[in-house]
Amino acid sequence: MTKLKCVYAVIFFMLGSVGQADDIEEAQPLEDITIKTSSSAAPSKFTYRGYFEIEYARYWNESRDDEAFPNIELSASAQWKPNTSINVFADYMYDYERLTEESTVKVNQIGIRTQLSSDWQIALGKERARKSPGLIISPSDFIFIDESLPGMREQREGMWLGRLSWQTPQQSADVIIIPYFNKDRWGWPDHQNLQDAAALRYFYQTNNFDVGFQGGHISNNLRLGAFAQYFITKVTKIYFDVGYTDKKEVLFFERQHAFDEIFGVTYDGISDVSLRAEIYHNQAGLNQKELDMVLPFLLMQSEEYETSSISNFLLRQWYLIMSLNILNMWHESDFTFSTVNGLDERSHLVLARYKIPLSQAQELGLSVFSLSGSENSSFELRPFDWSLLADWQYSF
Amino acid sequence: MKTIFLILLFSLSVRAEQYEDIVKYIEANLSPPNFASVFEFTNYRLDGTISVNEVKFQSKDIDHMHGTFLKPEREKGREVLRVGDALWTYMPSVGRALRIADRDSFAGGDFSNADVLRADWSAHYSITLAKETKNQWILDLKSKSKESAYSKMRLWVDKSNKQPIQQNFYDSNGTLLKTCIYGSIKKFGSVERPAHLLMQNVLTKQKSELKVLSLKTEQKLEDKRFTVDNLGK
Repeated sequence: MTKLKCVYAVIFFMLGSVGQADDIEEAQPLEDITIKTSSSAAPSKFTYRGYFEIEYARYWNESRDDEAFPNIELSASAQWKPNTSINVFADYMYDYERLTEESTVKVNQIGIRTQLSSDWQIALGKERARKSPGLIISPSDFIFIDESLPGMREQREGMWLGRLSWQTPQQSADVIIIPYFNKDRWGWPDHQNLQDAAALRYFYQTNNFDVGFQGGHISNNLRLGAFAQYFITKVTKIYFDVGYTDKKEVLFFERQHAFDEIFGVTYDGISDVSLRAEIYHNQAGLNQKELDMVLPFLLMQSEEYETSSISNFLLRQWYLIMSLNILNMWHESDFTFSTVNGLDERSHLVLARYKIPLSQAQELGLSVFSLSGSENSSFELRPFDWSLLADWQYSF
Repeated sequence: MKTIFLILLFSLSVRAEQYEDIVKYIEANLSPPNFASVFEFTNYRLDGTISVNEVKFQSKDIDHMHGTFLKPEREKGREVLRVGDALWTYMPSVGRALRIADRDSFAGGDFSNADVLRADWSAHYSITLAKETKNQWILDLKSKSKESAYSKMRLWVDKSNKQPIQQNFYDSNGTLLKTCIYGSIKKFGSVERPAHLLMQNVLTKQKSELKVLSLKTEQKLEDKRFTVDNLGK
């Protein structure tokens, strides 16, 4: 009997005492409040986005001290989806540059996308769809090649194309025809410089890995590309991005069978901080002897390099690209620091940008841009040593 | 003796299953399949800043979720996509999709991506009863693997309606990281869930609020919404 009593005691103790930690008390819910409702959950037929920006710019080097105000940019993009199968889109940008006193209205994207079935989509027009991992340069993506420095002017220009795609959440495949590869300054096909292109693309992703392949031609030049990115931990990503062309012209030199590749790593293990580093190798880049040959000629040309087109500066073979991004600083401000450094010549591009919101729709930005390089480096072609940019943007 | 022990084990396992069912019920209401919703996130920072983000979510299931920022105007057009463990963001300023780390801070606040985009605790945590009171179950959820967002969670559940009241989040050292308090239980179609959440970060002393402005279930959501190439489209 005593043994039985002990057993019953143990049973009741275990059943009764499981989860009877005395120091845990009941919780209290939040008080009921009235919450405004929103009708935005329903799919919107018409969506838009835009901004107006006004900028002050100053440029210095030993022979130059230029001021430009105002530089103006007005951007508007919209999509109309009358049903789940059709998407009509347009994206325009108006620019006024004070230094040149030129105005441009540029078409970034325009066209129509149609869902043939749940997995099949067709698109006609001008569109942009970039997903390769490189920060600025993506060797594998020979279609959407326009790039900009992080934090600088928006870069949404697409390509004139016809596209047939098969898409699922895990993978996708595209057939792309580009009848007009070159564009004029207004974004329309450049009929003076006709080049066509075509590409096949494939993309596949898993929980911590994704890979993309691209193959095609630009005029008669074969182009191939591949990228892969992998999360070695939840917050550390490595990636590799490579492109190949069978023939490429770099200034006055023709290259055969040229590769360019990027190996990069990102780290997001610190709250609100993102770090990135890349090594970029451009096999088709100029060696010192070739640069020495062309540099005097190029300097005589007095060409103005667009600051938004970084590829104008990357003429050599090896570069180290790094970026630091800090979010949610004082009053939700952000800071971005990016640098591109030549490894086979002494050349540096440094961009620091600080952005602070003034309201739901307004932001103030401050950028400092520095270009430097030794004598006989490709950065001798730089239009300025220092640039200071201050901008105010109103979004709608 | 053997019979007694078998009865004991059976009783304990039935209870464990009961607690798992409670958590699954909560998950099914917090993340029902095929829903479309609008959430408002309000972040209260120590420097006095109050930022408000309004995000439209569409979710086919816990592995397929898409969000579009509606407000503030300067964030308009930004999108986030989850496919399994893969997280992508779309930046309208450069027209590109970027694969990002699945880490803390959704929309710059104290709700993490895991908190907002995926309530699948029963799959990743083992559930036991810490305490049962007259009105509440207090459940302990312990991570089954290092991949889980938190090492441990404690969940207070109202017995009358099986709705969550409070949730504590702990790291591997048992340090309390965040506390989420729920309120304003509302019916949205076929689900009933808290429409108001307050997440308090114990370490930083900051807090964020989530309000459900609308939620519709049984939506016909096509796969194309959850493809990387359709971000921004």
